[in-house]
Amino acid sequence: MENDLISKKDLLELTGISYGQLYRWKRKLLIPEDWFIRKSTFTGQETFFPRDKILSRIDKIKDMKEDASLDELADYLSPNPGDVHSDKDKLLNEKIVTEAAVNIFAEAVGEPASFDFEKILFIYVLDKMLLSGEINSDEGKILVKTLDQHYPMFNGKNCDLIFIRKLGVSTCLLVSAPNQIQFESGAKIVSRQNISNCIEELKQKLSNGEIGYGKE
Amino acid sequence: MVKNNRSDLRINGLGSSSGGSYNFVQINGKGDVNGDLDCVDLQINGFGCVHGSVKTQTARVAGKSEISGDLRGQEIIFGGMTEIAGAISANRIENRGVLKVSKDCGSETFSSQGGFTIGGLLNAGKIDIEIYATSRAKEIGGEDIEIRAGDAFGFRKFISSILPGLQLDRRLTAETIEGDVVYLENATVNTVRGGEVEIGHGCQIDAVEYKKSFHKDNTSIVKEVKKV
Repeated sequence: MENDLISKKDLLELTGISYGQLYRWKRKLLIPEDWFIRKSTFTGQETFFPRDKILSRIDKIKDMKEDASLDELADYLSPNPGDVHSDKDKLLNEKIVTEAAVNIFAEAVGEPASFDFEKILFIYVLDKMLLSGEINSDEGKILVKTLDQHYPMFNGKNCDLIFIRKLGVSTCLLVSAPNQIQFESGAKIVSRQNISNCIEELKQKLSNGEIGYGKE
Repeated sequence: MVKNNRSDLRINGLGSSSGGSYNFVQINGKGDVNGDLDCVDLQINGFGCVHGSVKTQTARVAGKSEISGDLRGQEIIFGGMTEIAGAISANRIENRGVLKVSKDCGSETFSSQGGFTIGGLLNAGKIDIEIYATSRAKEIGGEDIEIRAGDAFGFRKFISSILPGLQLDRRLTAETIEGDVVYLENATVNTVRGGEVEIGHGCQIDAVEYKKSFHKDNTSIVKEVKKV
């Protein structure tokens, strides 16, 4: 773990940027808050960064700085749901989702040429539930169809995805959150996913990789 | 989000209101806003409390005010006593009173003629501080950092002359200060790191790391100096 971190001092020396630049980029949210890792060392508190992530991010900022303002850069680095596009290979290479999830998605609603943010989100939710072992692949198709048909009606508002099972029959539903729902006692809530939280997690994943930059 | 569709909110005397979107929000007297506030211009005189976060273009906060969430804006001027339980982010912050921020405070320019307590990081491109009352920040970082002892003015001289025992402390305390150009007076700091570092009078500093230049006033104590 130690090798994966770089101290602030070493980082500035290695990249040739100044304290001021680093603080400015932090202020502009070009560098995510949770990359700043504080640790006690024998010289007092020092700040460390995840080495690979911060080095590639600084390279990108330096590259792009020439033809974009810092505010434009900030937009690139925080992926807006609207302007993320990716293809299957990229999603798999970046390990955003697993191939199994993409295949189930393709079987359920067809494979699109390019995945926009909403589609990536559906696959991400599916992937999450598959990996946790809560649902199987057939149930996954139900889930994807539900999301694909009905999620757009929420117009980006916060909602919960609830997956229930009773006597071996499974179904799922979307409800706007926060809302209270009660089921009959025979039904079991298999999983409840908050879509907003999923979006946050997915954005985090995307912004760490290449796709978040809006590059095709 | 169209400005014209928003109404104004004015509380004069004693009153409370729910949060929401407004154009101009003014609190005179004692006013409470329960919930998040999204407005174009915020003015608080007297005793104002926002139980939630505030998003605004400009804010002028005087008297005794409290915000229990974050404050986001372009131009923010503080007078009197202000307590913010969250973080501030703005383009320009001017503090002329006593400001307390529990989390981070980020701005392109930050100027203070008064005192402040910042629980997190004070991060600004240009930091211009004149210390008139005890000031404290966990960390300070930015491009151009200038911290000076406030000039003794008439009122302070008057108070000290009738109450000689009363110490109106004029120090700034921080764990770390990091910047490209740093000038400090009356500061107690663990570590100062920067390109050009100049230590004026009355400082107590454990360690200085500098890249280009370093100057120190004779009245200041710096335990360790290192060129990196």
